[in-house]
Amino acid sequence: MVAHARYLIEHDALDEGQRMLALTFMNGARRRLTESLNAEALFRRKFDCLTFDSFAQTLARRRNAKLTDEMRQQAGEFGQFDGPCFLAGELLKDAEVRRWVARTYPLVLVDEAQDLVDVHRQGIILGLIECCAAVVAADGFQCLSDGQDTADFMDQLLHAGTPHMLTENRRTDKNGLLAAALAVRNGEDIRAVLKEETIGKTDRVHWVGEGIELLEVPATAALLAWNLAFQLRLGSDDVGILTPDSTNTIIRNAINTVSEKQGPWPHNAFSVAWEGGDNRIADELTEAIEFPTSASYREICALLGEHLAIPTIKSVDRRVRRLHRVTGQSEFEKDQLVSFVSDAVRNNTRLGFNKSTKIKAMSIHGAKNREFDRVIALWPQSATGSDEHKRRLLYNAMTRAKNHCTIIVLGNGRLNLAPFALS
Amino acid sequence: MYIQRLKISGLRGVQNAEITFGKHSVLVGPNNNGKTTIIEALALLLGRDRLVRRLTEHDFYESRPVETSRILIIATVTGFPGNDPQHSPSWFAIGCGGVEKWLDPNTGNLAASVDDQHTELSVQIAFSARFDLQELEAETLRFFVDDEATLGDPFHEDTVVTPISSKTLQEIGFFMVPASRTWDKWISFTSELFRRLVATLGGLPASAIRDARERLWEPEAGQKLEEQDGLTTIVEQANDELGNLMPSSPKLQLRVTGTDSNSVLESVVPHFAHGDGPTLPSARQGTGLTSLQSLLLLMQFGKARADANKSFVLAVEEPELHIQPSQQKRLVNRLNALCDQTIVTTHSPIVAAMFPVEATYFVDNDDGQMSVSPLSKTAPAGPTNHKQHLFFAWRQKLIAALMHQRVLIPEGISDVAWLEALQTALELRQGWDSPEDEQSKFSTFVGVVPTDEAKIAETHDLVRCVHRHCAILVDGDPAGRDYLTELNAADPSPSAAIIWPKDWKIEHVVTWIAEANLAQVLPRLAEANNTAISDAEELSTFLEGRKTYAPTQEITSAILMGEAACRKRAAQLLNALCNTLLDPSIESSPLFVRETEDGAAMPTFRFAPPDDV
Repeated sequence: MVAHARYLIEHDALDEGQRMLALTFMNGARRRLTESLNAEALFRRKFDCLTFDSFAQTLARRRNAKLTDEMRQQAGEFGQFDGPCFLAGELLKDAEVRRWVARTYPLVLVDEAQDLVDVHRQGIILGLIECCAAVVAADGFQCLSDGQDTADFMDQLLHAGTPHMLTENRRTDKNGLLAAALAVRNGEDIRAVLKEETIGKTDRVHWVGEGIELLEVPATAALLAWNLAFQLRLGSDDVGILTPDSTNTIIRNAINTVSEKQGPWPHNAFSVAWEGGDNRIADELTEAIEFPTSASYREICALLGEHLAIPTIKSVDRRVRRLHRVTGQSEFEKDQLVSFVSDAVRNNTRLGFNKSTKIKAMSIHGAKNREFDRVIALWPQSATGSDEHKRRLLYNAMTRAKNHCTIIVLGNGRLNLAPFALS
Repeated sequence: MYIQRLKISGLRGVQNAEITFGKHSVLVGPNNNGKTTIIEALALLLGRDRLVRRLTEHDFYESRPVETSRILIIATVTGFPGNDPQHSPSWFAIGCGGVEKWLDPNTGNLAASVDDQHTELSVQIAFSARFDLQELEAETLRFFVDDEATLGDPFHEDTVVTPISSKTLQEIGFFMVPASRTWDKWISFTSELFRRLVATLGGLPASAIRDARERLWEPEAGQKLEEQDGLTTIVEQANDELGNLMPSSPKLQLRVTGTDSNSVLESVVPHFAHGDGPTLPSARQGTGLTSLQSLLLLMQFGKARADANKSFVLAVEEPELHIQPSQQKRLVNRLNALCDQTIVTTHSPIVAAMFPVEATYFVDNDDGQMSVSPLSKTAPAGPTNHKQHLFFAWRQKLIAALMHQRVLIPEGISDVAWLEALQTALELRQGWDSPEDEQSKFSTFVGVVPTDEAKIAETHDLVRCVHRHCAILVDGDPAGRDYLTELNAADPSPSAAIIWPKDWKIEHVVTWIAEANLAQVLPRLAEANNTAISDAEELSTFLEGRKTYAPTQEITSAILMGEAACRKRAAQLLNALCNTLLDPSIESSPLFVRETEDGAAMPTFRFAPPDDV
C-alpha cells in the first residue's frame, strides 16, 4: 500500500501545497501509520493522517451550510460517531465538496479497509475514490466484526480501481508462524503444520514451529499465570498479550498474579498493563482530587494547583483558566470538571503520551494494526462468535507478531474445534 | 477580487454595522460617524500583520472590554478568477482554505450551493479579537467563516476555525492609505510599499548599492573623515588612549553609514528638482508634491499588480488631503481605473461627486448602530427626472449638506438661496469678538438640501434613506400645510417640520429681518436694486418677484447684514431654527411654536415672529 503511494508521489501526484490524506479506523492505528509514513523522507510533511471519525467531523462541520435538516436529524439518530460519518458520506456525493477535498488531498491512503463494516464509513471511501487517487488496502479475512461482512463493499472497491493482491504476510519471516497463520485462515488444522513435542518432566504436549508455539493449559488462573510467567521469561521486551475476551476472569486474575507476585517462582513480577483503561484512570484522578459539587474559579485553581505535577491535571488547569479568561465563567460544577478530566485522559491516550515500556495486555480488537516482537495469545473458552469469526480473530492475533507467537488455549480438548481445526 | 459586504461588530464606536460595497465606493458622512472605523476594519482583516496596530481597550466598543467582549469583522470576498474555485486553490480547499459560497448579485444573499440566482463564487473571511484582562493585550485571529449562521465564539474551546494565512490574504492585494500620512517616508527603503514595489517591478539596484557601500566603507585616500584637518587631533588622541588600554591599538575611523547594504538602502532620501532649480529633499518640498509623488508610487504598484493579473484593492482616507481639486479628479479616476476595488472616505464634496450616486455611501451612526446606505440603489434614468437634477447638477451641494449633523429640506430653491445668502453675509461680518447674539451656528450643524420647486416629498424620500435627522421647511400657505400632511404620513416621516407663519414665505421672513431697522435699510435696498420700495409689504412683494434672481438675494443679504439690528435678528432666527432642528423634542422656543403633541413622529413648529416688531 505504502509502496503504491510512494510510486504516485514520485510521479507528481501532489502539487505544491497538496498533501496525501491517510485514513485509519482508530487512533492507535493513526499514530502507527503516522510513524511509519514519517519514517520515509518522501512522505514527511506531505501527508495528514486522520481517523475516519475526525475527518468526517471536519467535513460535516465545515460544510455545515450544505446539510439539510433531514440529514442532520438522521445523523442525530446515528449517534456521536456514525452521525458525522453519515453526513460526510452525504456531503461527498456533492461534486463541489469532492473537488474541495481533492484540491488539498488528491491522494488518499486507507489502511485496513475491511474494518469499514458500516455503510457510513464506506460511503466516505466511495465518495473519495470518485475524486482522488485512492490507495486502499483491505483484507476481507481480517474483518473482526462478526456477522457483518464487507464483501459487497469490497466488490465496489475492486470495481473502482486496480486491485493488487498481496498474499504474503510481510511482518514476519518465520516460516512456522506463516504456515500456522495460513492454516487458521484456510480453516485447516493448525497442528498439521506444527511439530508435536513433549515438555520436560510433565510430559505435557505442545506444538511448535519456527516462531510459533501452541499449548493447552487447564483453565485455572494459577496455572495460566505460571505458564504466562514462563513465556515472559523468554523475553519481555515488546510483548503483547492478546485475548478475544479481555473480561475473562481467569485471564484477568492470571495477569494480576504475574504482575504482582514476588514469590520463589517466577522470582520477580512482570509489569503488565491493560490498555484501554481510560475510564479507570479518569475515575482515579477524579477521586484523588475530590472536586466539590460547585466552586468558584479561585477555589478550583487552588485545588488543581495541588496536583499540577500530574500532566493530565495540568492540562485541565490550563483549560479552566482559559475558559475563565475567554468566557468569564467564574463558577464551576463538578460534572464539568469531571468531564474535563476524562477528556484530558482520553487526549493523552489519543496523542500517545502515556507510553510505557510495560508489557501490554489488550483485546484482539484493540490490537488491530499493531505489531509486537512477541505475541502471547490467550484463548479462553469464553471466546464467542461463529467459527469463521474465531478464525479471523486468531489469525489477526497471530499476524501481529514479528518474531514469535505463543498460543495458550485454556482448557483441554478444544484443539479439535475452530479456530484450531476444521469443525 | 473585491469586498462585497463587510460586517463589523464591537469595533470602536461601532456596535453593529453591515455595509455592502460596490466596486468603487466613496464613504461620506459627518465626522465621528465611523468612516475611519470602516477603513480600519478592512485593514485589520486584510492588511499586512505589521500594518495592524496593537489593539487596545479603546478599540473595543465602549472602551471597557470584559471577558466576553469581541471585535468581529466578517467580509464577503467575491470576484474570483474565472468564477471557478479550481483557479483559487488557496481559497477553496479543505485543510487551509475556505468554503465556497454563491452570491446572488441582485440581492446580495449567499447560498451554500450554486443555482440560477446564486452565481458568483464568494468566500467569507473574518477577523476577531478579544482583550485578555490578565495579559492586558488583545488576542487576534483571522479565519475563514464556513457558515455564518452557526459561527460561534472563535476563541471558545468548542469552536474550531480554519485560520487564513497572510499569504492567501495577500492575493487580494489590499492596501490602505491612512489620513495621517508620513509621506516623506514613502519613497525610501524603510517603506514596506516601496520595497514591495521595487521587488515587483525589477528587483533591487543591487550593484549600485554594493558600489555605494564599497565607496562609503573604504573612502578614497584624502576623503576619509578622520583624516580631515579639524578631526585629526581628536582622532589621534583617542587612538593614543585606546592604544594604552588595548594591545591591538584599534584605530578610530568615521563612516557616513553603517557600511552594510541595508544601512545604505535605509539612508536613501527622496529629492525633487523643479525645472532647473536645485534638487531639494522631500522634507523641503510642499506637502502637495510629496503627496502626489507617493500616490503615483502607489499607482505604479497597482499597475504592476494589474499587469500581472493580480488583484489590487485600495482603501484611501481623504484623497483630497494636500492635493488641489484639479488634480484630485484625475487621481481618483486613475485609481478607480487601476483597482479591482477602491474604498474612499472623504470630507470633500468634490471628491464624493466623482463617484456615481449608487457608489456614494452615507455613513450614519446611531449610538453604535451604524448604517451605511448608498444615495441611490441604482442610477436614475431620464433627464427630466428630479433625481437626475439632484444627483448631477446639485450633487456637490447635496453631498455637502449630507455631511452635516442635521439636514433641512426647504420647499423650494429660493428658500435655499435665501438661507445661504443670509448665512454667508452674516458670517462675513463675524469677527472673533462679535457679540454672541450676532453669531450663528446654523451652517455648522445644519445642511440645506437644494430642492426643486414642489419636489420636497421626493427629495425627502431620497435623503431620509441616508440621513436620520432630516427636517422639512414649508411655506405658511395651504400648499405648505398639504406637504406637512403628506410627509407626516410618510414612513419614515421627517424628523421635524418647520412652517412659516400663515401666508408667509421666506421673503416675508427677510422683510421681518429688515424691519429690525427698516428706516435705515429700506432706502439702501431700493437704491441697490434700482427700484422704489416704500414699505415692508412692498419689499416682500418685490423680493418675491425676484425669487429666482440670485444677485437680488445676495445684495439684499449683504445690505441687511451690514446693519447690526438686522444682523442680530437674523442670528436670532438662524440659531433658534438650528436649536429646534438639533432637538425637535423640545417644547416651543421663543421663535418657534410647537404645533404637535409630545412624542409626535414629526414634531412640527411654526415660526412666530416676536411681537416687538
